[in-house]
Amino acid sequence: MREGDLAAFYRQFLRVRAEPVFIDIFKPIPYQSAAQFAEYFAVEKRPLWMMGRPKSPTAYFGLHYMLHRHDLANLDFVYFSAYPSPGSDAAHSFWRYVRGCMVERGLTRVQSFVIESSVEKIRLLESFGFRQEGLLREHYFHNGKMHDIVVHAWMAEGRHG
Amino acid sequence: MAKLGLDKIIVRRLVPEDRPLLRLWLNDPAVRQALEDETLDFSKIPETMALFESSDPFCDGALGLMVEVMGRPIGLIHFAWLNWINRNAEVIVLVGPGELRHSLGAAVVVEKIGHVAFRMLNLHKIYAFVYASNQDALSVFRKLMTEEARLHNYVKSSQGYGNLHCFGLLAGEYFAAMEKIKGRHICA
Repeated sequence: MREGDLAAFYRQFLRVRAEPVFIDIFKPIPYQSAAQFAEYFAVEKRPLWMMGRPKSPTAYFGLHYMLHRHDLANLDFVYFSAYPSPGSDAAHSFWRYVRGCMVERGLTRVQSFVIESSVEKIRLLESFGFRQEGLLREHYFHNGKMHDIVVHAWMAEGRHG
Repeated sequence: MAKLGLDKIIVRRLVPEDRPLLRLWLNDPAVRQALEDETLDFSKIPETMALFESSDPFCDGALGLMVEVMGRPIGLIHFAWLNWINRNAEVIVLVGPGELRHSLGAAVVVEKIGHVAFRMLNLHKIYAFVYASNQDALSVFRKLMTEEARLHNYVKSSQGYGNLHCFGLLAGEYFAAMEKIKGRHICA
């Protein structure tokens, strides 16, 4: 991602989604600036992908806390407008691309931490084959109250018990 | 409280004099197998010790503490990923003497974690991750905290894959549990 792209992306990011945009137990607040955002992802362990055209990105996804010795990582993604409907072409192509990136890195398990009220995102994750593994109670503070975080995980076929 | 002897237990900051003992604990193969965290780098033990001694919960988002019973150090408490917006932290617990790991000693260490987290740091929640292979820790945490998530086949080892259990304890739950213990002692 070029620097100019990032600024454009971040403006849209703030305008379209005033709600928490990045839900991750390790960095649970929206970034205060594009510089902070870039800094967080500018390490090998947290690669970031932008979806769509540089001037009008539609989504991003990132892999965090990549543990190569366990072949796993945390997955987070954000669509700046609406999330695609489960089963739609847009959803399929997104997931195909994400899986390709995971396979490239040898990841056989990814987990995602999503605020409980983000129903669209949870539905989409479940349509990709993610299974709920738990609920972190009162784990995230936003708009003056605590929210639960739902934990989902996807595993490659060979990893299932 | 006198029945459990909690008044004889203190929690204090780590000092350089603790290093030999900590090194001994951290070199225990059982501990190495059970502990895994970015903040605990076994290949850099001196740096890890220095981190424990200097950790500032407000600047570093971490805090290392030693638990002592009548002058005998029995455990290390490490608050990692302290988040002052969510008011929560991950807790890494190490009960040093092997014979105390599945006993009341371990429960006492967990009680002290609650004391520091909720009465001193004013956190809302603490959470901990425990490997399924660490049965001693699992039995202690199951009694004292709530299991919130089970991450399936999370850990890869030569024996295959193992689960990772996530436990959480809310401040309200801690205070309620303490009231219960206190009430029991008053009635006894």
